[in-house]
Amino acid sequence: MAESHTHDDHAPIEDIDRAPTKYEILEQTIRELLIEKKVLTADAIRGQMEDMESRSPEKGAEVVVRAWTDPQFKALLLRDGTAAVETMGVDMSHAPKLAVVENTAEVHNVIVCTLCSCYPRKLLGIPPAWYKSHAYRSRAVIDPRAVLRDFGTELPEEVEIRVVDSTADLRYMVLPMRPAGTDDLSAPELVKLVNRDSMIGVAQARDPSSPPHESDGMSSRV
Amino acid sequence: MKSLERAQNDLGGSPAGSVGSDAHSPTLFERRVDAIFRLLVEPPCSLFTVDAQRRVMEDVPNELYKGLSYYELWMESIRTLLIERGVVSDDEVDARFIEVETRMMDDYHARQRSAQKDEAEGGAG
Amino acid sequence: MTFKSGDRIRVKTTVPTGHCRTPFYLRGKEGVVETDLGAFRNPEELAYHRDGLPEIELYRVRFDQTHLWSDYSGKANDTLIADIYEHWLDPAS
Repeated sequence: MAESHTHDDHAPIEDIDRAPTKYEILEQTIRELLIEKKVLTADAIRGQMEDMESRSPEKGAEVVVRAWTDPQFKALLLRDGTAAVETMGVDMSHAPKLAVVENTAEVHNVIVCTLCSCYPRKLLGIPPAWYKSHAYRSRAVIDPRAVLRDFGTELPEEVEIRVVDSTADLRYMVLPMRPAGTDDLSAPELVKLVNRDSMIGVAQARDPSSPPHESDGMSSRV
Repeated sequence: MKSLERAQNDLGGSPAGSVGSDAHSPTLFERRVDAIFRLLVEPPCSLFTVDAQRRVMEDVPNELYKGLSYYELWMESIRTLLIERGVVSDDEVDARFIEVETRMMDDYHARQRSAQKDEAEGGAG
Repeated sequence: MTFKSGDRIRVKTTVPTGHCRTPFYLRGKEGVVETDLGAFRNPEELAYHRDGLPEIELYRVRFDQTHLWSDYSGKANDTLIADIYEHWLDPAS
């Protein structure tokens, strides 16, 4: 029987039993030593795992929708991202400063960390594997339009594409543009239009008339 | 020894293929490594900084940098940093690794035998 | 040297001897300071378990993509933003 017994939406059911890898053995080794030496406790590790699970694109989507519908909140979000998301109950202690950049009809931002994998984890959770890949980190800065095309995103010629390379202590998130024709939608309906990819900037918020993609960065999958 | 050429992590603009779409949910291993890392970096532990971890990863041999998965590299760097900070020794980790490996492999083989036995008896596992 | 929003800068071409957060592709390039982000501990020191003091000023800098890449295939008005520490910047002539 495999080790994982979690059945939440975020964790895969690891029911394929296989021999442990070298690094799985190393992780067990280090964890045991750290617990024995009282550097960490098993409870603290479990608690931290649960905490990171609770940080997700869904929370980011709520922040985006609040900015779409509340101009004062939007102004705060763009001025001081950390303070703004804290007002929505996100614990940002020990988190690097959050900077939110706004996509408009004129400017489209896309976030990358060419040097490693900086990402607003305390809000959005663990970044997708592709964000950490060599290909994304290399090409996002030199050919952002081609990278957006890899994600099926095509922007009008006159839009300025602005690549943000997170080189220092700030973590960046995109406030995607609110799609047209959404004036009558409720907040929960709007939240469904905002996926993780749109908060990185490789996609736009979903048009309400088009269906959601399979792995568009919303972890509540069917 | 740092090369005069660009560091191995400094990838902006370097040749690369198209971006894949791997967006798998983090595995149990990945979530554990992430949790341990975060606990060691944040107060009250504050054993090392994110900057130190980046530096360690930048300095690993290139074959390791290219060959290991993202979180395997993190695990390797955590090991190095714990030794740097004097929390564990190389020998301690090596010795315990052998014990843990034996235990985990014995458990795995026991599960395999049990599964085969269940299959042979025609029942579900 | 302290910079302010609107200042033209040039990224130094120093070869780093250790941990560095100024990407290779920006070295020697010219840009414009957008924002003074405040002072932060020096990551080049923090990386070696040193305290990173005194803090160093950090700037959000904007670059033209056509200036960064000789064969840039995007639009002429595309830009790139990076956060660069003061000791990596010189005023541009």
